[in-house]
Amino acid sequence: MDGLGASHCYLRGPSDSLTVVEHCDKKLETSPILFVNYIFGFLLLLRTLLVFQPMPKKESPKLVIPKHMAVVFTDDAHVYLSCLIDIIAHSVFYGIEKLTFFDPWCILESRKYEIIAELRKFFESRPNQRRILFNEESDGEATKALRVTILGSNDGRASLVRACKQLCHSTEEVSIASVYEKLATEHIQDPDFLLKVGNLNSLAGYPPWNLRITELLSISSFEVQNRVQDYEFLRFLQAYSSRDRRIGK
Amino acid sequence: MDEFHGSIDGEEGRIDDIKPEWFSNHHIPWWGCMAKRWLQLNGALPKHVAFIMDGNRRFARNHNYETVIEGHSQGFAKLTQVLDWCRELNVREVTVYAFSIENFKRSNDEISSLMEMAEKKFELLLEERPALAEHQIHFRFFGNLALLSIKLQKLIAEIELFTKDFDQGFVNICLAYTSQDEIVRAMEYIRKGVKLNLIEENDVNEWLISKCLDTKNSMDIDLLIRTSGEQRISDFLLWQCSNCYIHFDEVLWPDFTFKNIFEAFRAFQKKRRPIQRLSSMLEEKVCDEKTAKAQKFLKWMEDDRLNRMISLLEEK
Repeated sequence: MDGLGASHCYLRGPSDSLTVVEHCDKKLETSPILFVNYIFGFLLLLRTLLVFQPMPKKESPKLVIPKHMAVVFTDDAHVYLSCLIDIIAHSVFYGIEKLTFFDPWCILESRKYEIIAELRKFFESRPNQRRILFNEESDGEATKALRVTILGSNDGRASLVRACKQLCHSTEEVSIASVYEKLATEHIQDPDFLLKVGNLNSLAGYPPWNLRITELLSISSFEVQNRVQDYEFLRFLQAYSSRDRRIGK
Repeated sequence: MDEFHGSIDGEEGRIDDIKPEWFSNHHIPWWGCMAKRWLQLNGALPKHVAFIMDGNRRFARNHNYETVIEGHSQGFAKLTQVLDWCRELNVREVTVYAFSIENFKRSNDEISSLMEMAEKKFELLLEERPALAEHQIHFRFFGNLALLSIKLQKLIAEIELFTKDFDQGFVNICLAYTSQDEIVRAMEYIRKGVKLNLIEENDVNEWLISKCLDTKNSMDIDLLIRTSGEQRISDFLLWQCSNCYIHFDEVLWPDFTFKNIFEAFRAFQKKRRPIQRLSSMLEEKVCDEKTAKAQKFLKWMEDDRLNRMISLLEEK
């Protein structure tokens, strides 16, 4: 009994769902009309329970984690260090193996050591997290480190020019594999998923060779300008998971 | 020839109303002239538009066609209509992704039907020589054409050679094409050029690679449109589109209407200036001396390509 003088009784419906029926302590009136009302109400409730079908659980698609995710900033106003740290932290959590960041103004490239220092501070208090390595660093052992690459405008078409300059002296014919090999030495690889941040619907000079079958997702900005919330990052992964990667078939 | 008119509710471009010939003069809908004027008042229109014509098979399934090839047939009809619309909108160059090297993974039935359809359409194009000459449209074919049948290669060579001096408009059809294959072919030409001492390693730059790609004589791409809702580039013009405006549309290619193209052009106009600023920043500065030095190599490469086409046609 609650303080209002009403009591509760519980009915288990056909699907074992619980329904709370509140009724008054008030004595049942013996008036025939009121009695009919009660019977009518009871019949209505019974009908509702009998036809009640629980809403089928909407199955969310299985989360597919991209092995390599790229983030491209097409608006220099969105390039925040805190966003990078958040994305790296979420990637560690979800098991992404490689992250590439790109902006055509080379803002991130110019602040690389600042980024590394901030990351070290952030992960000092989280010793059990996966290691994070930047390209120049070697992991020494076969650990599942998250590898982070920061690229700028000099890594776009220019990376293919550098590859061509090396391959033009080869005695063997140029092949797709040989170009991949040259780009890999600069840590430029195909991202499975590319998140483009900014209002410009352009790839802003991101290394073109590697976007062959990359799934693209555009957002104008993060919900909080200088942070990437965990639910937001999950939404990005869900969007990626829902894509149908047919590859020509 | 019947004129085609549509309605403002997006019903223009109904697939049953489209004639499948290359030059059927599909006019823009009645409100299209106002739309064109409005676009012109709001800035420059794109001069080179590329299309990934995706969605033919889904269109066939949605309409319960017996085979997916009927969807491709509708897709071709839509292509001819969109080419007419682009001409009306003063688009000077159109590049379309007709068949990827990756598409060879599809069933043998579908591939052979597609190749048969391509042969018929190119034979039809050659029958429309007067219209080609009247419109002065230069048809070019990009891709690893050696992967196609000899019959198709000959048809392609004949079309390219017949139209090579036309310069009022350009239609580039990508067949047996992937961008990575195109880039590799360009780099292989450069490697041979170095071997023949026509060029040196120092001559290799973005400009030279651009001049060795299939799109060597094309304008820069302003706008890439992909239909069917997929959001990826699928190995299409990766180098050329590295900083163009990319527009994804949910509509399936055979359902593409004038309203869709209008919206894409309008979206392009809104972002044209920031993209141009970014392009200027990204553009490699190449001195005239380097470009002059590479001319001999580029001429050798073009002669090699033309001679191959001519030899192919002379083969029995």
